[in-house]
Amino acid sequence: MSEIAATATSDAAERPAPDGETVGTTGMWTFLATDAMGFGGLFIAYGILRVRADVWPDPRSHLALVPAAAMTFALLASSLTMTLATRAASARVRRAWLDATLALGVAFLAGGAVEYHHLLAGGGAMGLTNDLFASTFYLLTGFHGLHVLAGVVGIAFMFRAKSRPQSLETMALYWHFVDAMWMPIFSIIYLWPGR
Amino acid sequence: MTAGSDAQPLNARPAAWPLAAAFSALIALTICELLVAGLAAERAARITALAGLLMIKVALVLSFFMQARKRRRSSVGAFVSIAFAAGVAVVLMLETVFRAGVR
Repeated sequence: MSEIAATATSDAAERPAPDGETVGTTGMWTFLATDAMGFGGLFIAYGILRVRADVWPDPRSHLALVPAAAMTFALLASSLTMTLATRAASARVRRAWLDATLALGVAFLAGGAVEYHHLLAGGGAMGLTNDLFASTFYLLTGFHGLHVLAGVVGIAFMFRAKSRPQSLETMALYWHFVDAMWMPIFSIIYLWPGR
Repeated sequence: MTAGSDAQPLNARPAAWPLAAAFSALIALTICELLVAGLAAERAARITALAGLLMIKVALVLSFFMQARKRRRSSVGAFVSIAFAAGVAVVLMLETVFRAGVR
């Protein structure tokens, strides 16, 4: 009796609802809501510190815009390849698009690591505790970088586990969210002028 | 009729061109951001333009990549938290503009 109930529950969990929802995607949306509040808290803290500061440096005096723009394009392209992976008709094509997503995610992380190296080891080194600009920069980009790393590990795990398309759909939601959270970081930290 | 009853199932294979258009728009908007950041315009005007471009970009990702319109049931919670954060950001931005004006 309990086996029948368990099977029925499992079937219900796997079967998408009429609006395309599964337990996985619903759970992921719930997680993303809490994670969005985490990012929101950091953005609010950044905003308050920036508004209250007497002087805020121009980002272009510290940060290189071209590599950051290249990282942005890589992340945007990875969202496209991830969506194409979820829409792929065959497992071979899906794997190829996932390969591309993984490569772009790793490229983004590598770009971030190179940027950190230049900032920390360059002539006018920007240490973690130099000023509010430096601290908030490392906090926001580091927090986001950890999310990208988690996504890359998740995609790599999906290769090994040969997971179902529903799992890929759930992973794709997370990946797009990470892409969306980079947009305010790129705009606010790298592009908004100082005073 | 419910709000989401006209939505297509997510497992139906959608056309590729809206995705390509959204991706092209995101690339174009990012280039616009870079151009606006380099303009010699007033600081407040640049920040306002950049905030506008940012909101459009996030809306594109939510609509076309995350297909939030088709996932009304569970995306509402995420929308509320994102909208809350965006609202606070707008308030802070307006306060910045006000303070810049006072100084």
